[in-house]
Amino acid sequence: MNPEILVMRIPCQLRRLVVLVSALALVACLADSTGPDASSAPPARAFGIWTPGVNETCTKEQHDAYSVVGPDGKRYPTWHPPTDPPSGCTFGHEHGRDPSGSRLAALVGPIPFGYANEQLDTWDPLNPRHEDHFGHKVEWENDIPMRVDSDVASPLFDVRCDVMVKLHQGTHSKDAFTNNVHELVYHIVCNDGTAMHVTMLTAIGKPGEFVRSCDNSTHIAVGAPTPLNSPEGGGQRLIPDRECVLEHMLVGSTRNSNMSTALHESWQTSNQVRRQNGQSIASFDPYFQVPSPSRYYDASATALVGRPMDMCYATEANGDRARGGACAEATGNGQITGITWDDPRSPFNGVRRKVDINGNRISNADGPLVWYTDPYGRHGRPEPFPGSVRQVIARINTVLNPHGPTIGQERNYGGPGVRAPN
Amino acid sequence: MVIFRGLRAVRAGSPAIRHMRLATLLLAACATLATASVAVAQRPATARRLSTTIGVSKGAGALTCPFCSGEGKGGLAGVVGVELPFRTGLRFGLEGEWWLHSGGGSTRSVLAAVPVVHFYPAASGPLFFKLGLGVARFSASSDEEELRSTSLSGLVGVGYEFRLSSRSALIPYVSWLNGNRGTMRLNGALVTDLGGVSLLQYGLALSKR
Repeated sequence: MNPEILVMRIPCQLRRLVVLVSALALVACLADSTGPDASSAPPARAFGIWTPGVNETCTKEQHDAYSVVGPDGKRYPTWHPPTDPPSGCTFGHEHGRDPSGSRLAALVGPIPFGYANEQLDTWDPLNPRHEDHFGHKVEWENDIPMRVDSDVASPLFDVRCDVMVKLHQGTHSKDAFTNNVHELVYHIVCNDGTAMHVTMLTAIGKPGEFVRSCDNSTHIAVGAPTPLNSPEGGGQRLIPDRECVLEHMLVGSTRNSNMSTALHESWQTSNQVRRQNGQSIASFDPYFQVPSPSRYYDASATALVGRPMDMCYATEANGDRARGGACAEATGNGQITGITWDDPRSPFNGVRRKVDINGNRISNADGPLVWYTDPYGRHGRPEPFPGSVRQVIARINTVLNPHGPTIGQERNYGGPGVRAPN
Repeated sequence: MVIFRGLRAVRAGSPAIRHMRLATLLLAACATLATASVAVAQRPATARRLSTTIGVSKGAGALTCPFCSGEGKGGLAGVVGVELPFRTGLRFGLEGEWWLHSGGGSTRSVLAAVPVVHFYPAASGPLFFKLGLGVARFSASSDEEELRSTSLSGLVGVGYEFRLSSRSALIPYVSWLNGNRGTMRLNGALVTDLGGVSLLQYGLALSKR
């Protein structure tokens, strides 16, 4: 008999049992995330805001059929595929990975897009924050091997988590140049007892500005944020600007464009769920990265937005231009002209993304399993209040603070008709 | 001394496999010899004195919990025990078991104190089985950190007494210590209440009475 198998057998069985029991316990707390028939529910502000463009073959009604009733009884849009399976029509945009494959989907149900934004209307009616439909992006992975916060303990543990996240990460418009507040839904359940189900408006970096992505240091002040009282958050939003494009995309004849440096976006969140007294209940800091956005910041451009696709056709006075890579592929080395930023043939459509799960910490051993916070994840109380958002957080103090790897980098969510804005 | 590698690293022909075969052979030999044990046993049936046992072995120890890797690492192990005859074919005793592994910048160890019962299927035979229930602690430490898991643990084992004289015996033995639902702490902070330990060891012990 292999003694190491002997050593392994009982823990494996126990592990499955503990995960199962934890999951069943959470079901009871999460079960009210969906409600009655969506068709009779009043619409949330986020519902029904998408209309088909000239390239889309689906109707608004077909799109709005993908909806869910939120905890407040209102009807919200939710995940749908880029192509409607029953009819085969196309929506022209995508929301990331189909959540139904996540183990957590059975626990939490469909994600209502824009729920935290809606609650802000009640919590702070003078300072609303609503986001477009395209930007809601889902990513998830089951059974992710995690690292732990200890050199001694790390080789002894096999901490694994199921993670499902949804961030509103629009990479086609000027919104994120100034606005640091975006809806984040974060679900994580690990075999070490770490478990969080958080919906919040996360403040990513400072409002009114972003950080130039190609040097990771220059703060670009753009203008007033929405809402005007947007809180300053941890982390930062790395977004490309014209300087990045000119330096790394338009190049001389001796080298190829470095698209990953020129156009990469990284939204580095730092999130806290806090009690009324400001004490942290839980924190987590996933990073959301997009290698091929359909925009960059251009202070001289209309609406401050420059289009990478346009730059595929641009030539500087010194002869620098886009060479190789995505531009060459899309234009057939310059033979195909007239591809616009929102053309399905443009490779700059934000369909490739990855999420760095990073750290997860909980300090809730003496707290309740269910907290109600304001939409920013603050002022947590055990009982609901107007404009509050329900958060479910395991009653533990994490010691290992499991850190996750990058997920989603191998996926491409593009498909027939998918294009910017996406 | 590393005997067992991690489960994922074990390959046919590796040292870990060789030692496992040795343990299997040892058990098989004990069982075979037991069939003829009554006739050849030299153990005085009337001996009712306290006996002491010291053993050194090779062992594989592991930390166990629902999210532990369960990876068994090889190392030097051993047992120290005292036993007293209770009635025919039964001896009560107290055993201390230990295991040590160093590597990768940390030291891992198991220490256990276990009251045991030795049961002799043939009252005057050399083969015995042992059962025990005690407390075991798994520890992993470096200069900066310490992880400990202390749990109620059960012990099962088998041994065969080769008489060297009327007062001494050489005992090949195999034992397995396993505990769970213990308190695991990392640098003093509670990690889980489902911590445990597992220690498999096989070796030779000297018993004197």
